[in-house]
Amino acid sequence: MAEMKPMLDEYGIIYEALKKLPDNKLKVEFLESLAELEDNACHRTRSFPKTRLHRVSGVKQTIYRADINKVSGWRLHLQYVNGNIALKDVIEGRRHDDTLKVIKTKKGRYQ
Amino acid sequence: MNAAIENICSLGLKILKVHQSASEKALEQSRHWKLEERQKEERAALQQSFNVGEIVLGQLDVAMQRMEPEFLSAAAVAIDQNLPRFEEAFVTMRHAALDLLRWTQRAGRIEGSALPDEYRASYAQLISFAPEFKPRLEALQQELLELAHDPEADKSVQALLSAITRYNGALDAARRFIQAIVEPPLELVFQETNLFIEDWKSYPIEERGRLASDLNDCCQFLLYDEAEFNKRAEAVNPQLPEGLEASLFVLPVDTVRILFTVDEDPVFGQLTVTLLRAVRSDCHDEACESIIQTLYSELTGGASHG
Repeated sequence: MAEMKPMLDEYGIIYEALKKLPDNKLKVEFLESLAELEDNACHRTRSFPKTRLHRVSGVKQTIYRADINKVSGWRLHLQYVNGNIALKDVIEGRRHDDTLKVIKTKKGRYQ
Repeated sequence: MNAAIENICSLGLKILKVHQSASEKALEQSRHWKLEERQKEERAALQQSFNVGEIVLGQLDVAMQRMEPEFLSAAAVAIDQNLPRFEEAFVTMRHAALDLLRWTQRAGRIEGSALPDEYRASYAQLISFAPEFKPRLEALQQELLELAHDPEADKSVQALLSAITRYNGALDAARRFIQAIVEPPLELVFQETNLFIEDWKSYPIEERGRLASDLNDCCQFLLYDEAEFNKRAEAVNPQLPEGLEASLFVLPVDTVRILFTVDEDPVFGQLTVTLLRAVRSDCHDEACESIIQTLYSELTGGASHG
């Protein structure tokens, strides 16, 4: 059995998501996303192929965004608190502004 | 730089003195490893690398100001003559520092002592100096590369180009040495956005060198001196939903304003600096407004749970 990463749902996001998501396909994908986010192996290897987990830029709080479904744009907001992941929000997709798309990454220093 | 060296050396001696008292074995092994003598060697090596850096950079500065064969050759010779001394100093320094730290983890271990971490942090100050001059060096390299395209170019152009390549290699190695000592908990990562790249391209190469220098200098402080970072960069605080605080900053460099976010990312083990815009000061307000709108529209638009 996979080693699990603790996940908190103190705002009832799972309940909210299952109410909001428009069809069964998305509901199943939502469960798949939760499974990946709870899988400690993904955290250890820092690889989240299904949800493409990434840090929300621009806020001090360690908020992350994870895909439920890439194409439809449905996603989850999570917060990293004392080594645990807390579900924060389920969000209906909208178009992103490409002007702030990150296209290059440089480690250690800017050159 | 001298203050940084002094800090490293006095902390090294303090660790030795305090941790020797851990046990008889600690004292015995510190003598066996000649840690006290090697502290002196470390000081000399740090001083030597600083002196070499000063000589080379002095010559490079002259070459940058007067791009004539005589000065280009002089800079190339200065690098060739001094590089071995620089590399030798870094090896001595690295071995002395790593052995001291290894000793504090083994025979000289004192549970709860903050000194080893302070010593590691003091080395981080050295890293902060490298980014100051490297972008300038790269700007010169770029200029030389353009000159080298001319078949009639003087041979001093090629000589200095290859000397700078070797010097860069040595600096990168030195930086890795220091990184090995410091081992910061989070890796500093710079991300560039489309908009930023467009802005960046609009500045002349020398100005980009200076901007990158100041940007690196400022952001390196995030790793070990947040107060200093906050002195250099100004926080931008837009209205966000309750419980959220912006991590948006503006760094003023002469007439340019660089807008960026700083995000601690424990899941991926990095501290991410996302570069958003680099605009002239008269366009700053407009650029800032537009960035805030784009960056936070999702957070301010949707319902948020603290």
